[in-house]
Amino acid sequence: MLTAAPHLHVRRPSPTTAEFTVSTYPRNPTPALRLLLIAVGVLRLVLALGAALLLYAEYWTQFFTLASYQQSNLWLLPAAQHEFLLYHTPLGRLAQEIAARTPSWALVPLCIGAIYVAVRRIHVEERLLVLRGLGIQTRSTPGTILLGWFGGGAGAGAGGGPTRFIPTEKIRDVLINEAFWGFGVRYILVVVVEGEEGLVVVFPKLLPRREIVEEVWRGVRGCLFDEGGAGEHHHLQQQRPEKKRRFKDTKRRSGAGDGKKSPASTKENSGEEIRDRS
Amino acid sequence: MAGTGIRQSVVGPYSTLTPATVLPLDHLTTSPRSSRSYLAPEDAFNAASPPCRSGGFDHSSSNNNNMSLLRDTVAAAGSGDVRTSRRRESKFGSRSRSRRRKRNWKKILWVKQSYPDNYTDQTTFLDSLQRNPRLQPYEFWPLVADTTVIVQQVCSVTIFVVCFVGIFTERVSPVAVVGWGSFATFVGWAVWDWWVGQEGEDEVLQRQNSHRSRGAWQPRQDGGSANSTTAPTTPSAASSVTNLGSTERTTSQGNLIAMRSQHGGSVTSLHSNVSHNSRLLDPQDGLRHRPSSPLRRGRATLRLSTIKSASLIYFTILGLSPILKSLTRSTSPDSIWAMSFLLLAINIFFFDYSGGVGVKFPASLSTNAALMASTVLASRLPSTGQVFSLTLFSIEVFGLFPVFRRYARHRSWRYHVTLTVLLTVGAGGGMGLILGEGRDGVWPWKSGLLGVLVGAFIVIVAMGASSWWLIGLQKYKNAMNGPWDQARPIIISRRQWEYD
Amino acid sequence: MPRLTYNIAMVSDFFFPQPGGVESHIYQLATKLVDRGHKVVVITHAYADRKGIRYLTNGIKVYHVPFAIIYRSATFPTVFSFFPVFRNIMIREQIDIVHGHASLSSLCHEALLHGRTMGLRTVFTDHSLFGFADAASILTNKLLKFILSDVDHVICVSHTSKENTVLRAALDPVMVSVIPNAVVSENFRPRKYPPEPPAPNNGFGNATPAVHHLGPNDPVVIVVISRLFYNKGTDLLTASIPRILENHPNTRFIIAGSGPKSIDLEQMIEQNVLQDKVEMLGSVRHEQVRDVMIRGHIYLHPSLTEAFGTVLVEAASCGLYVVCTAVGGIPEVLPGHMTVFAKPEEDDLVVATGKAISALRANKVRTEKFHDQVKAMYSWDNIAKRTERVYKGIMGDIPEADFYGYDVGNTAAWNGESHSGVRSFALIDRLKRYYGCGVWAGKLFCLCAVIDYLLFVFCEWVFPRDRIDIAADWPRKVYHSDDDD
Repeated sequence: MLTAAPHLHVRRPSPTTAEFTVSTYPRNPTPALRLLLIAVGVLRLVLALGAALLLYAEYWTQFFTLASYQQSNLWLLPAAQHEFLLYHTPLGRLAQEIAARTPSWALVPLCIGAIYVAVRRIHVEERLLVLRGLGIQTRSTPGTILLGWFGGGAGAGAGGGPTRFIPTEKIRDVLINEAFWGFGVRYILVVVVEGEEGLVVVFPKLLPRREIVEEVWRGVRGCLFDEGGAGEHHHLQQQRPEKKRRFKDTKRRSGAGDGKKSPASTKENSGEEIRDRS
Repeated sequence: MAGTGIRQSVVGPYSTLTPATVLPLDHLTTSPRSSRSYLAPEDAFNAASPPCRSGGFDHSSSNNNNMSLLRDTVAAAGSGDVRTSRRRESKFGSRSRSRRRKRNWKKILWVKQSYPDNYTDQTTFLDSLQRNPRLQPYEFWPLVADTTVIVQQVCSVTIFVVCFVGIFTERVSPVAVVGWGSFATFVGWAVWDWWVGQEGEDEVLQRQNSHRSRGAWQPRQDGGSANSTTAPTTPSAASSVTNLGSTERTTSQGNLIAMRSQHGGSVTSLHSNVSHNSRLLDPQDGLRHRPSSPLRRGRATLRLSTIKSASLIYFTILGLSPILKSLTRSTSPDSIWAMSFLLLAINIFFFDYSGGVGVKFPASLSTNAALMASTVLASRLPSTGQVFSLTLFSIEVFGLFPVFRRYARHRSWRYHVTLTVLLTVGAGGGMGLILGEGRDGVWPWKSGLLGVLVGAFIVIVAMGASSWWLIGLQKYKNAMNGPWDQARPIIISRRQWEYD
Repeated sequence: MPRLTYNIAMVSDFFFPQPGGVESHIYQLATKLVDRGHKVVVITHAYADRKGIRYLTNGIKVYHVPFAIIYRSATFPTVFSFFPVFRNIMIREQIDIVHGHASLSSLCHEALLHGRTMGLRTVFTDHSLFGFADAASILTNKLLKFILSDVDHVICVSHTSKENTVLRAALDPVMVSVIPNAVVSENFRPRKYPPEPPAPNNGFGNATPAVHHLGPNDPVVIVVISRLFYNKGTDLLTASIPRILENHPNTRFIIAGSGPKSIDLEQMIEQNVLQDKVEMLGSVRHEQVRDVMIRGHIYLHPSLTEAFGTVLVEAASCGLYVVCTAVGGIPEVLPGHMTVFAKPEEDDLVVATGKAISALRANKVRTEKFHDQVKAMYSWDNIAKRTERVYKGIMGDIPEADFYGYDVGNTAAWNGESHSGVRSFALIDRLKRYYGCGVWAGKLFCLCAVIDYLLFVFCEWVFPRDRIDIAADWPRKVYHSDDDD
């Protein structure tokens, strides 16, 4: 209800740049849906805070001894605030009571689970930015809000983050592949990168459906290689046999859009496939 | 095209793949449709005829029996709907006749025939199927006779257990057990040795003129079983054999021929005692005085080595007995009883009941299990003498006695039956004795007699019932053979290049 | 009227890159079916370097399902764990017919079961013969009965195989078609055959190749190509070779193939000092078989069991005179003028080989004509056409009466019930069929079918159909001029 099926949004700020965004955020949210989303957000905030408070109360009940009470370095909060929080607010007292009654082996995992649910992202969004002459950049939202902060704060270009840039000279090909994924077979858009063992899967979390993948594929080919420029395509074809040997685990399916493409391109693709047969 | 080829290919090969006895004769003579033993397509669905399973398994009715059985199974399995069976039958009949038939359908693949691929030719379909081709219907009495081997083994195990219990409860002196056991073993060995000697000479004779001894005991069965009720033969036989044993002990190795003639004397005494058994001993009369010294010298050394190894075993057990005595002191008696029961059961189940005479210790698992059981049991006994005697006794019962039994069976059916009766009596009586309330000093003959009766009853019932059951199970036998079976290659000249 | 075409899934554990008879059968059949305008997908398990989805020539798509190999060691989980993936493939490829191959392939059996659960038509091709005696056969037969009690049609490679299968699985014989294997005769040309097929305007008579007579001093070369196993009759071969060579000194043997019995053969060669007369090549690849065959004049096949014997057809296609044991389906394969049959006995094999040698020496056998004759007998085009008829029959595109050979007049009396040919998909009908498989086995099979059905319902709920992408079709071929039968 809160999320929608993955849908594509294409942005072309300039003729040599294109950004493909696949997102589960509702495309045109109604006011009611907006309100609902806000309410859910507030609820998640409350959930996170409550869980944190419970954890704090649990921590306190576990470590409360007379001796340790003296050593204030055990306290996470200054003593006054601590007193106030746990003894002078009804919420604090409730939390303290719950913490005292619930065994800690149940409480701690429950709280951690609640916090995880609270910080988890509801909507997933994955982007593919194509810059002709430069390369492509993939980016996907991380699973949680927190990681997004940290990752964003550390800088997207740091390498370990959720973005990845592949320069043009490293890109061997961009193609659509069919692969076993879970209990089924999916169409995936992959980038063949030079010098890498595996393939780079674009939109790895959402795995959008075939129509979206085909549209993105066509857009990427058009933007990156300026499809129709036969020279570059030919160049790619020449490199192919070498490539095949390295990526044996999956079979390329560059002719995925045969039904909709022009007869000429179909023929070309099938020709490739036949030649690729070992 | 190639009419002869077709004929050759379709008919020729199968008629010779299996022995001619396989095919029932009536199939060859009578009309193919009415009484043939093959399965026709409609047979698979024609479950209407009631299965006639009640009949015996004599040769004449087995065909029909099997046919109806197969029909049943196939129909029952064939998608389970008997509803459509009649309809299909009628359809088969009418439709396949009315089909356009320019040429006859042939069971070949290389010609495009004017029939659809799923056409089933009624006359040739499953033509070469044979059901239960090598079926040998069991008969009751031979089967009962065969169970005696099992009875013997079970009885000897029982006797061993009885002896152990007797020793354990100190009702029987271990010296008596091992003494009588060794005595019987020695007697048995002597008899066995004599038999082997005869056999060897027989073979020599046989090699010279004709085959005599191979199937000789086979016709003797009838006579043996017919007059097995005559006199209690064994005491006299035993005495005569004792006679033989004593002569053997006294004579030196040198005058073998003299000893041989002594043998002959003992044999004649046996012969006179065992009234009608002249046919058995006839061949020996001629060759009793035949000198065949190389064979005998070999057997003399064989005897010597046997005595040597026997004494070796004897002293080994004597030396090991103190160790065995304390072997399982730390184990609780319960586990010992359970374990020995298990091991003896293994002995009975894995015993080689079919073994020929040639093998010395055939079923090693069985023998080993029994010896281990006896070791374990012996370790329960308190004194070294008891341990020694039980172990020695077990070797005699489980190691040597089966060899003798096998030979006795090979030798004469009458010996075999006598042995079985004796063993049954011994086991039953022993069980009665150890189960009965034995008062000291009084010979509990009542319980012993009761035990004998009960034991005999159980044995007879078990033999009869198991045979009857096995015969009853035969009707479920449904072996189907046909051209799809892997052929058995007949190879003659392999030995030539392997062993020359 | 547009031709009816189907989407067919061939399922078997045996497929390339593994070599073998079933493998090439599936490939050839699939190729020819694609040529006839159908869409064919092959489903097999993953091999070491083959995982995922691949295309072969002609647009045959091969799914190397990785699941089967993960759970290979344990059979029970495989029964159902394959289902979700299988269902996904069936839906995305829009399959109409599941065609399983080889009775020893568990993947095939599972696919047939799941296919029926999903309401697809199923065909099974049996490539082998089984006895009824040993324990392995009993187990396989039970499993086969389970699967085949609900399959729509069965194809056997020979009439003997049909009899065997009908008995093993208790089938209605009209449900079983006999469609043999074939050979690609272009790959098995005789030595002196014109490389290009003669042009049609040449006239038919000119096309016959030159007659090659065997000179009086030329050695007769006997070729044996077989895996050297017991069931291939290597013992017979080992025993016969010295005697054949003794009777006919001017004879050579070429033996290709490997196996546990090769030691016996080598021993025999050494014992009889036949190194200069018997050549052992070891195992040869299937592409090299023709090159080995054309070196000889006689092909000797001492097998003890054989459902069809494709290699005989290949040998005859290469222009070899065939000496074989008359076991299994072999007598149905080749006409008498191409073969000399022997009993599976050493003496008879020696005699038969002797007959063949003297016939060749007398130049009585027109081996140069064999190729064209075999070409006319066995072709994959014909096989594909006949298989297509089976597909049409089970899809109801041929009238039932025509397909099953029933009288149309009788259909009125059937009360609208479906007869054995067109099998109802209703679960209760399937359960009835499974229940008849045996006292205990029937119940177990019913349980399996019910679990399978529940799993299917669960899959429909968890992975709804509309979430599954429909795969793009390879452009179909248009097939003309079919109605010549």
